[in-house]
Amino acid sequence: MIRFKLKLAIRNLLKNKLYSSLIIGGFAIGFTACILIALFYNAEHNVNKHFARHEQIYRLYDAKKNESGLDYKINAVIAEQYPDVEETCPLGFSYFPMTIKDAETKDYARVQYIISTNDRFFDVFSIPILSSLEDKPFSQLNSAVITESVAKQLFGDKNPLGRTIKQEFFTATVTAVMKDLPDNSSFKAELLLNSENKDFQMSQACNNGVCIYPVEHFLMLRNGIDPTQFAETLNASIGQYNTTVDSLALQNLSDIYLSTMNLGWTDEHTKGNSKMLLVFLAIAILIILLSSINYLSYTVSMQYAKMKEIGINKTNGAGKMHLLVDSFLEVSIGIVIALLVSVLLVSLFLPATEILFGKEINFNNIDFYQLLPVFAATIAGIILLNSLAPIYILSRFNITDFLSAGRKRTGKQLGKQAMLTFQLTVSIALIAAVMLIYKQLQYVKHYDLGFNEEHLLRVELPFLFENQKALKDEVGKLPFVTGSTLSNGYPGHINMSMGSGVEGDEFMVNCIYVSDDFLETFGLKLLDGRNFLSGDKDQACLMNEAAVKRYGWENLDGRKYNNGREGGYNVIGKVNNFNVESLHSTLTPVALMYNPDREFNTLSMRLLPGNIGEQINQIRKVWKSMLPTDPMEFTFYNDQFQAMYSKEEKLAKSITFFSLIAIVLTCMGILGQIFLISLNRTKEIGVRKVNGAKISEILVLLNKDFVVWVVVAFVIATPIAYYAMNKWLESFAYKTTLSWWIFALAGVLALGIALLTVSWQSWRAATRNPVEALRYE
Amino acid sequence: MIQLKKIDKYYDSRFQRTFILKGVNLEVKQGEFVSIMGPSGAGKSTLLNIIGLLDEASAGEYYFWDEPAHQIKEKQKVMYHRSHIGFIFQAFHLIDELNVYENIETPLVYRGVKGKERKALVADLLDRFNIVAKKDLFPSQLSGGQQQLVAVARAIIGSPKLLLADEPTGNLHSEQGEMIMSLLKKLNEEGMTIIQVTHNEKFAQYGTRIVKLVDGLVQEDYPVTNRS
Repeated sequence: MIRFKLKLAIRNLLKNKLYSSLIIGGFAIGFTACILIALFYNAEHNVNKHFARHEQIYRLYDAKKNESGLDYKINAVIAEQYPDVEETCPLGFSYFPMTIKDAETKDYARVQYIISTNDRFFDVFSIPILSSLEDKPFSQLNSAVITESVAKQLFGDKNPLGRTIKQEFFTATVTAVMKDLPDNSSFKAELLLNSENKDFQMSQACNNGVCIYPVEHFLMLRNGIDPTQFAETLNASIGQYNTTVDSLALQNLSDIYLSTMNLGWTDEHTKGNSKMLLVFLAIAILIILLSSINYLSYTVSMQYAKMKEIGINKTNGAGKMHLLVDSFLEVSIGIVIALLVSVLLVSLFLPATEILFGKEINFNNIDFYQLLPVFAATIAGIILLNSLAPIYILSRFNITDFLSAGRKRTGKQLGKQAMLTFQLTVSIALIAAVMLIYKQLQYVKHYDLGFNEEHLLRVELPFLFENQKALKDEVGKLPFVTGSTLSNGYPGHINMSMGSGVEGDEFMVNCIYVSDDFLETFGLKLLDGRNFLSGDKDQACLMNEAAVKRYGWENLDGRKYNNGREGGYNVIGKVNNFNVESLHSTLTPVALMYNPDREFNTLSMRLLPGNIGEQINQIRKVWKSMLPTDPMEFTFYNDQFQAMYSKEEKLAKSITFFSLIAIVLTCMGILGQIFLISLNRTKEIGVRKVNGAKISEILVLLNKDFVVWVVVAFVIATPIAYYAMNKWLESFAYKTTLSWWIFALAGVLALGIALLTVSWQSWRAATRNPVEALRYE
Repeated sequence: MIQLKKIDKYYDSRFQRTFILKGVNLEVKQGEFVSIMGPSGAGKSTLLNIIGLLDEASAGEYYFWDEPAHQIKEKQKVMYHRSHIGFIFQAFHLIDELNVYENIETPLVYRGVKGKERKALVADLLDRFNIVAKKDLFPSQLSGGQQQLVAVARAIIGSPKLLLADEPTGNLHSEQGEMIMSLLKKLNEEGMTIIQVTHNEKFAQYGTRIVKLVDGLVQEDYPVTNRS
């Protein structure tokens, strides 16, 4: 019997090949998008969960200051005084890219993720040591542990143990090699340094003469210890040992990645974006709704088309159960086919997920025990929903209706209209959102940064390099270099900021130490005062407009910046505002301090437009002649600023992609509707044509309803989209306007798409020979 | 076998009640071949639908094998359709997606007959109707007469006691019509009770009795004297 029914179901699908494949294909596309998003969502929610004992591992943070960087000394105190803690380790991070060198061979590798920690690190996070000199990984004071991949990069096939690695700031001996950290961790590590060594501390913070090394502390509590209670115990007694903290709290390792708390700069760098995830989840739900709606109207229309068959089966003795099983099978077959196709598509798309989400989805990071029930429930829900349609129809009609009037449909199909309007609403809102995201991106990308970032090249200078000035001069002699300057810090990376030096009005001023020609090279305009003279060395500074405004100075006569050195700096001029950070943040006060003899970390050059590759080669030649063993790392400023918006750009890309899917699905829905409508009204069209209606009049008749639905959808979509977009724009300091034309254009586009889709079918219906249409009766 | 007592069928519209059937009394005995005749709109098909339990009477009593059929539930109706009543329609009403063999098989499937037995029964009938060669064709590949032949085969495969035919020859030309009618006559002679609705005076003569219906009333009811 099942075989018989399957056969019937498949033949029914094949009967209307175009329509069925359209619907099943659409469903497959929708499902593919949802599976991809679900995989991504799940992977993001499983960050850090691969650590074997993640449930017991907590990060310590100061609940009052909202800070996870706490005094290094606390770690030893906790390890010794609190038996509830099984293990604890400090983590001091440095995510600044550095070049490390093999002291012997001068081979080098670029590493970005450096952590200073101790031996317990490997126990807390259960990270296997592949090889080590002695029992403990950090067997010497200046021990370093490197990952497998760094070892390979730096030493090739040679044994890395016992070798010395050098960097400008430190020299260390490799005493162990560890396995690479899994990529779905909230922190990354390429090089570990022994935190016992003071030289390996990553940062220092001083307050009122008391200096601490702020690091993060990860505690592994013993089984069954409640973290909140433990935090209370900690706060009650920690004061005896350490006075820098009094309001400690614990955050579970697996909560760090998606938490909304921002506890320090490492969080900003490595944390996931739970808002983005919500956006994606919303899109996935919308897409599954859209495709379910399509499928539902498809099954409903199939049921209507099958009314005659139902009638025949009933007279042949089919009970309600039989008929329901029939429809159920038919619905399920379509969905199963769609599912199989989408699984195929997902496996095809998986390598491209990097482009979509900015992170490749790896099956190792996905917990299928969580995901499969969700998938199963969704599919079951869709099948159930679609099985409702036949139940409804069977209950509504009488057996003689089935036999006599195969195509009779009564009443306005409000449900269908509502579903289509919903689809159009989603489409309009998404079109508007996509347009606004692009508008904002264009806006920030082309926003005047205050300096001319085109053809402006930056080269990193090695630490302790003495001939900086000579290099600047040599490079300046190249014919295509029109200006060059040295600086410590640069637009896009400020590494020093100091207080305002005004008592009672403290604010931070971003400071850049510069050598000669800074204004000329960057194309900054001097608005007031004068440029640096050689006599100003270490005595004068220039301020930008924002700083002068913040100080409230009306003129610069005798003004001083009272910080950084005894006697302060004379403010000798005012330059125009320029951005030192991305346009996510507002303009900040900046001071340029003149001291051409100090050490700098950056050489900036303005190049003439030309063959960039050739120019870089020439600069590299000069570099090699002075720094034969150091690699030259260069960046163009415009690339660097563009890269600050890569997150937005990715968001824009993926939202566009998924919006396109949503719009295609909506088109399919519209197509299905008009298909049915023109089928229903075949007789009406025929009669009208026999009575002299023109094709254009028939087209208007058929298309009129769709225009109404688009208008309704537009009215619903506009406020929703406006609200959502307004929220999104709030994260930018420089925002484009939410112009009315975005919404208008979205509406017009939706209308155009809808009418185009409709007209394809309604044209066919309208131009058909009326005799053919009337023959049905 | 069938007893209709004062059967009414009407539709209520806002101001008036339109009667399709009014006080129809009819008794059909087992083994009869009744032809219901009458002009368009006389209520012939409605009467047949009521007899076939496809439609319900608005008033009156209907006994099928002495069971009060006007009171039975949906589930029982299904049972009657499965085992007691076969239908033939003017428009054949074959399932387009099923081939000849499968169409004939359908009622057996719903009855839950085992596959092997089904095969035997269908093969038997195909043989009897001389359509073995056509068993893999789909309805659209058959002529009207052949389609109706398949429909008859489907109607009788469950060996129902009663065969209802709603203008079985209406969509056929006369030669095919005669073929179907002589088949029905043969079935009747083998013992099947048949009620047909027809417009065709000549085809009515194949039956044993003629009932004339005008405006929802039985006007005449007489046996066929010289059955063709």
